[in-house]
Amino acid sequence: MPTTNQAINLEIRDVDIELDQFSLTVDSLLLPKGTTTVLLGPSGSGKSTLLNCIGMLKNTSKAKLLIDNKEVSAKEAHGKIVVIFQRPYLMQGSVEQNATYGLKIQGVARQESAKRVKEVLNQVGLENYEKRDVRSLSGGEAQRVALARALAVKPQALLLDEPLASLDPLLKRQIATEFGQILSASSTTALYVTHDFNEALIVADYIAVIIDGEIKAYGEARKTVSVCSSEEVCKFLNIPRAIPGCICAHANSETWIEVEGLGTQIKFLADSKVRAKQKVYFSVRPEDVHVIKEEHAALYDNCVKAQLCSMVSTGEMSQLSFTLEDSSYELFARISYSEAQIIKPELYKTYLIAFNSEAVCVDYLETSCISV
Amino acid sequence: MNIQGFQIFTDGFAEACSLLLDGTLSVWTIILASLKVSSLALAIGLGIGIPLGFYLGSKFTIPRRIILILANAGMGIPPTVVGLFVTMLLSRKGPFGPLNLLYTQEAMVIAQIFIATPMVTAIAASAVASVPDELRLQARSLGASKLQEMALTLKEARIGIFAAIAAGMGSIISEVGAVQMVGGNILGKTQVMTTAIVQYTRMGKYGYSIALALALLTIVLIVNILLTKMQTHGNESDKRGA
Repeated sequence: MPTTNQAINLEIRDVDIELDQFSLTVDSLLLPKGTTTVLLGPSGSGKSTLLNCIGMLKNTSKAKLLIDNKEVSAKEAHGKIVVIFQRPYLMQGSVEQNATYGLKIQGVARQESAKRVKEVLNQVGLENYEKRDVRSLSGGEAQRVALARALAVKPQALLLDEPLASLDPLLKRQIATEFGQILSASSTTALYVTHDFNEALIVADYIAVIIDGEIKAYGEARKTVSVCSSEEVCKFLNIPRAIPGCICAHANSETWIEVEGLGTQIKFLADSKVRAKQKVYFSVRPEDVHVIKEEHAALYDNCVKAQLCSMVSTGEMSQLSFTLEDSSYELFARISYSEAQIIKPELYKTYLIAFNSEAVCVDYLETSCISV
Repeated sequence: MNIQGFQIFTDGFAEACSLLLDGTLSVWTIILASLKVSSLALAIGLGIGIPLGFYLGSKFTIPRRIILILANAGMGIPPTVVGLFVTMLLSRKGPFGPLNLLYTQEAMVIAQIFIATPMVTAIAASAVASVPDELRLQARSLGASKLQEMALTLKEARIGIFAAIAAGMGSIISEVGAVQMVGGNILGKTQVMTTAIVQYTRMGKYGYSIALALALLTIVLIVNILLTKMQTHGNESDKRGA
């Protein structure tokens, strides 16, 4: 789908912004070519401020923006790096007029402009909407027009500032999936700001977690939201701290981690780079941890005895927090109402929790274990 | 109640119609003088008020807020107070006395500029401020120049801008105190519709007063129809997707 210019590596450096009782400090954030990076963080953490800075729209005095390692000015960045805001901010007029706006100001010939607008409206699923007044559009449709308007100018990078925040949860999930597909198909380098963990996982290749104006974690999406070593990131992501361990056996793709104080070894699927005695951190997403009965243990790769130390209801799901036996390490399990009826969880009782090797997310360290 | 007393109206309207249709020179001279003075004052008022309103409405800083407060306050200044100060400025003993502008159409234009400009400025500022800042940032992000950003803002604020024009026009064409003070209501020279209506009514020449009142109402109506059409034209075109 030829709706973008050649994708670029985008990097922002030396961001140091002081606002009223808030500061944002980012030494460097790289958005790899053709990928979508999600900037995930709680409200007021500085996500939008950083996005506006990358888009060279506000607070850009000290920051340096690099496109493919070459520093660019704000003027050079505009038109190449296009921002989509939380609200669509459509101009009065038709869908076509809005989608054409960027092309018009960039002086694209009328014929080429019409062709491109048709192409992007098809891409965002708004074919035959050309003549519709934007005031008659739903929230989701309006946000798609904003995306079409941005894609029409063939941006080298797209910055999306919580574009789905004003939509209801069901529509949000649907449009997030569509946005994810469109971004992926267009191979645009993109930064997607959100505070919604599920929305982030739908669109992200990489995730950067920002808290209190600092990027606290960055990496491949699933790993970043699964293996967490910082207390505040864990708290925000609602996952336990990653468990330190050591690679103790490695044969073909089957690998085991030994954890100090834990009676059993953890089996996981390792990549080819793993080496014996390598230090690792690992964790398992709460939705992949199951509370089982002894007779079902054979169905899982990993089974550990654990004490239930807290229970929190999150609406339709309950989150159980377990301390692994003989250790202080924690794993969370997220179970449905019906599962809770079967298990009947009781605080401080010991249960058997299980997870498969595919569910174990591992962060490899360069260092080796001295002793486990 | 004296029912026959209503004849004063019927007679007045009949005389007014004949004055207008016969092309009685003095009536049309007054109408043309009014149009000339008010159009010129409005044009200059818009020339100052719209850019100033754009400047004040596009970003709120303390100096801009102070100017905006003054503009808002300026909308409430009685025209006679404006007339007083302009008279003093242009009087023989005043700072601009040597220019000999008092009791001329130029003096009336100056007074009307002082009346119209704060109104146009304040309403235009409010219209521009109602355009979200993010829309300007959106345009900038898409590659718009400063000029293109301004054009977009004005386009989005057009309903308010036309309201500012209508209010400015209304405030000066119907104004009587200031123009009477600085113009002197000299027949064939500085007499305009409002001042003439006052004079003819005092003289009991209701036919003349009604003829001028009809002309004044027609002008106000035509201007407002045109402005309303322009206000809604964009929206109608938008609906058609033009």
